[in-house]
Amino acid sequence: MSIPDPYCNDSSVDEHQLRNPRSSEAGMFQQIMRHVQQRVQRRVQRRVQRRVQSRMQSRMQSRMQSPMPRPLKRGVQLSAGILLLASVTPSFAVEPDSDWSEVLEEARGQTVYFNAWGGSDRINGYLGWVGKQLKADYGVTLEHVKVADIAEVVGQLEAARLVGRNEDGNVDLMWINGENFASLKRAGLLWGSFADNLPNARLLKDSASMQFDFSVAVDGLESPWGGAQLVFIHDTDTVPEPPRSAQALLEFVRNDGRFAYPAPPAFHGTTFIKQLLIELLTDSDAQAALSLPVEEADLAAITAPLWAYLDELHPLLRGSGKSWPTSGEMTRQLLDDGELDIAISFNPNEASAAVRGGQLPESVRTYVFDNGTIGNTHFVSIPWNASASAGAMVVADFLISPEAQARKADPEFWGEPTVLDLQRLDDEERALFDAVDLGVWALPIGAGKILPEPHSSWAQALEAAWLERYGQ
Amino acid sequence: MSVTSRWGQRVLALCLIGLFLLPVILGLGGTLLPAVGLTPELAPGNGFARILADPRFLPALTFSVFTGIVSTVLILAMTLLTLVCVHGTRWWSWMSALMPPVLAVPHAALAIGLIFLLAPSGELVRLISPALSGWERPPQSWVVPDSVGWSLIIGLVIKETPFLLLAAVSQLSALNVSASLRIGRTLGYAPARCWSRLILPRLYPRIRLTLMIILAFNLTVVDMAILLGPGNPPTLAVLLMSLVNDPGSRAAASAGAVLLGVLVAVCFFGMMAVECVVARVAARRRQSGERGHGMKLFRRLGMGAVVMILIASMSSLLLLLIWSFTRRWRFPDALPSQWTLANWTSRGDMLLQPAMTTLGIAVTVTVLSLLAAIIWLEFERRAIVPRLDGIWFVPLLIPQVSLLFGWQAVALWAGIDGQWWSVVYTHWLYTLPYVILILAVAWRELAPQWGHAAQVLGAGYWRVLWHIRLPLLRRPLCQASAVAVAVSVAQYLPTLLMGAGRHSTLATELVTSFGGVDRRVIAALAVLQSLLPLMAFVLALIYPVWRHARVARETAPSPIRALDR
Amino acid sequence: MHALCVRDLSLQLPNGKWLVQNLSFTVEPGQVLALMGPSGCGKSSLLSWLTGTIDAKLCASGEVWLGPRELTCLPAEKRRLGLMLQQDYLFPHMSVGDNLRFGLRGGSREERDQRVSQTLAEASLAGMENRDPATLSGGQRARVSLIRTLLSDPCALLLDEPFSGLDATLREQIRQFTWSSAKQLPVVLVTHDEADIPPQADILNLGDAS
Repeated sequence: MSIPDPYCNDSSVDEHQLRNPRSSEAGMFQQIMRHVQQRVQRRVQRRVQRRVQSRMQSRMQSRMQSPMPRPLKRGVQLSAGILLLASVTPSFAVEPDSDWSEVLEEARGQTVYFNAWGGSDRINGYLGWVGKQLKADYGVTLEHVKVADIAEVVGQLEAARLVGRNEDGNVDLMWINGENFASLKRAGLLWGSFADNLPNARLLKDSASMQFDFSVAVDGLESPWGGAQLVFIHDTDTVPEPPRSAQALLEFVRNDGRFAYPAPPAFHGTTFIKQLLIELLTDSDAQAALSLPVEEADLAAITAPLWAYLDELHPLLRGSGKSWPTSGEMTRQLLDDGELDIAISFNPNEASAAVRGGQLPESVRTYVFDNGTIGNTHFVSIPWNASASAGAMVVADFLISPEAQARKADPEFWGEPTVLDLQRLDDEERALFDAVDLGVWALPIGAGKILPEPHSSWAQALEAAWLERYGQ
Repeated sequence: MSVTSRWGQRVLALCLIGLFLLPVILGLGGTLLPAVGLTPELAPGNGFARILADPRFLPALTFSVFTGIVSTVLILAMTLLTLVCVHGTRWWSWMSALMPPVLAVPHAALAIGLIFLLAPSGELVRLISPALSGWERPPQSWVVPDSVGWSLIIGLVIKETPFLLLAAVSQLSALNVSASLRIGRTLGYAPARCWSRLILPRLYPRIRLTLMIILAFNLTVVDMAILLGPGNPPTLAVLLMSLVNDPGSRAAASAGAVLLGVLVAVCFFGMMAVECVVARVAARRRQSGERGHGMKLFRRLGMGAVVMILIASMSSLLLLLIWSFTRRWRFPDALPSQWTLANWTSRGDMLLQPAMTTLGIAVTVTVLSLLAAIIWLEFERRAIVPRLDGIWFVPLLIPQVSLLFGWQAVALWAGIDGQWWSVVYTHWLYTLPYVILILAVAWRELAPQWGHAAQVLGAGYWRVLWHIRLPLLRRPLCQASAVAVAVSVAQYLPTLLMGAGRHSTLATELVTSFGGVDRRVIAALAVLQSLLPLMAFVLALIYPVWRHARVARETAPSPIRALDR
Repeated sequence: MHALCVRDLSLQLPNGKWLVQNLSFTVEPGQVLALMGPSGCGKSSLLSWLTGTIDAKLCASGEVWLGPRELTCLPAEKRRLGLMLQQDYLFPHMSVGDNLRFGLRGGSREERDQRVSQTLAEASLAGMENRDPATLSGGQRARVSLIRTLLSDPCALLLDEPFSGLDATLREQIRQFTWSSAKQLPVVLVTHDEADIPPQADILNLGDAS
């Protein structure tokens, strides 16, 4: 990974000059003026370029596709705009590869709308803390737009592209990975290769899952935020020996074990199905097919054992395969209520956080299947029409700062494994991570083998097939 | 009044009604056009073909029809039963006092409270376990929400029965019930027969419109169906909601919304057909001269029904309150083993921010609705505009989904989605009908002589309005404000669709985060959501009394007043 | 003080029936004109037309003058005609004092307060400023209502059966109070009861007039 040194570029010239006691005052003044001129020129050029581009695009689109006569449409738009006091379009200046100081300067005072899954109060609380830090340190206001499923945001962006809203978008930063990233990348709805430009990017782990998101090349279009693995939580008081494979799980529910998984397309449900698929495939050719786009595989043949398994499993589930938990968090609550024996989580440390928060009994433990479970990295990314891309970059950078990552790793606040390479941190920063106590309830470190995600296209295909079979 | 100012006022009135109908017309257009494939830039493809081909469509439709119709029939039955059995007993005043607060509890909060109450690990089972039931762990014989829809039906019945009941009660005074009962009974008819033959036939036409609103609501509700309906398949409205934000399926969602509108219309016709048949049968039976018997058992049944509704909603609220102060509460304890304030204190931001947004929107919407209603009713009183009662019902009779999908598309296309004003505007659309309909009654009943008496004392129009007319209508104005707050606080779909997720209110927060977020925090959110309208209702009760207390300062002037001078 | 003068008044119901046709009369200051006639003959409508608060559905034509001032096109609040109705219409959300002050024109706060308490005292209602009108007796209410009208400084007084809601003993008392208060104003009195009519009054029977 090539990491440009953010402190070694032309924007630091003025600082350097200002600090240099030997440069004559006149010389210094000229230097600064020249620098400012250049910067202004560049900004204006870019702005004009963008405006023209987007205007042409939208004009062409409306000419080709508008179903309504243009004057009429303009009239309605105008009146609707006047009616509801439409806001003014802000300006664009920063590019994905802009100097970091320029980014910081532009970000100050911006409001960043961060569309992120809002289904966990711990994560929401963590983002609240992030907002406070950003406000204090960078003058950036973070608005967490809580979404139930980030796929909705993908839809929103596609809709915005269709109506030609190429600037002043509603979304500045979003929490994505997998198929959502793949479809945004395919549609060209991402802003640009900004991730490697973030100063803190040099602290990241060298891991395959950060270069390839569900087998799709990341190309700096998204910046890593956290790592996760599919884990199971059980209560040792009721289930001393939990099932450690797909077959054992089936045996477990046959013997009146209480189990249910969230219905796909809920994220935990989809991941659980992928896990079962990987585990039920004995054939190595078939396993290899999972890392390729689903179009290139014989879906029916590969998934046949999965459906056979689920046909048998579903009638034995809580809710008899007709009423489903809506999320992984819900399975954890049902575990605490005693309605389930096993909860599904995508965070190896969730049980620790939950026990400390009074949401699970102290007798719970976290485990994974013997052959390992699916793990991946999740990211944040900036859409092409973001209103506050500079602010979004600052947020993305702060999210991978040692300070933010260490707090995120603490089960007290969130408890998710970090994406930073601890070897690359200085002692003081590493101490932040050493202070984190995971507790006995979390997945012991190094306990579970991490399996790679299937290619991003599989998720949607599996969800569709699942819905067709069981969604009626 | 000069001719020009009269014209100016006509134009203003026209603007007002235009502002009210604009989202309705644009919204319906915005739903219809994508559905038939006329807006390829927004929603490519033939929506009807797509939605009809969706394997989930038919099951979802059946499910909507089942829950919608069964719940509406139950609501009507419960209401009539309550009227017949409880009216005139000593329970009546007690019950009518409890109804408005129950009505004020928002749908989402009530639904969540019901889940806490009815689930296998819910409070009902906890109360009887393990001592009475022998259950050491939650039973596995049912789940909430269930897959047939009974949870949703229960929720709808509990939420909507008070609504219909209040609508019926407000009509009873015009029907002179006690006289009808006296006449009927002196003719030898049992009280239940008096009701069914003398009063209900006259009452029904007066509550028909409310019943239609309830039917439309039950068939198309989204927030309650997300929380209480099964997810697989969901009801049609919920299914459409999951499709609308994906441009690839927007055409299908729009077509589905059109079909949902058609379904509601068909159900209206069905309702009228059933009405005709029942009316004919009832008319024949009225001639039979049968007097009927006593109604002890019947009355107990009716009492039981209404008491159950009240207990269920009250205990749901109480459960929310308990959960919001819980640290640890395991099955089968009847009460939490550890209590805490942390759910309220440590998650302050999470509670405060949506609460403030909700309050801000609700207050603005209330003020705007009152303003619009006062302007309109004053115009109507001065015969500048005709009475247009029917128009205000329009947004309530069209399924929210059918209207708002299109309105959102229009907003998206005009670039006004996600703005605070567009959320307020859409809330206003749903609040104004209630405000106008509540105020219209009082406005028309207020004798014009009050205004004349003030006018001949030399007071001009504005002085009469501000010092006489509005203070005399203080009580209905307060009631209308409380209802407006309650309606706005409960709005889920308008906030979600028009706010583009940027304006999270307690309603959207509750529905999107239920299941994911800590149950105890959810409970706190739900308590807050119920508290806002409840407080509005309490204020609406107290304020007029307090104001009047200031008038009745008795003979001796108070020292404060003396200083004042 | 000026005379109240009505010229060529015609009132027509929406169904085309004439209530009054081409009626003219003049009431001099200090004079009482009693309007009598069967119910529904248009007595009250005539008063409403005089005060400018007539129902828009009625067709009316004619002129009303108060001395040199034409009132016909003025809004009710500018006509300065005092009106008393059978019901007293004391504003229930205001205290007695506030009710009186509502009609009072001009003056500083102290002057207004003083005028109110003085007038109340003259009507043997001293110290009642802060009472809730709902706590007053029928006679007290009638007096407050009349005082309120007089405090608004009317140029003529229109009375629409103002005594009919009172019991017999009170009625005589209030009649006295009214006639002594009205003094120099032109008065139009609508009544059913001949006993209401003071001896010097002119009587106009509307049944005859049409």
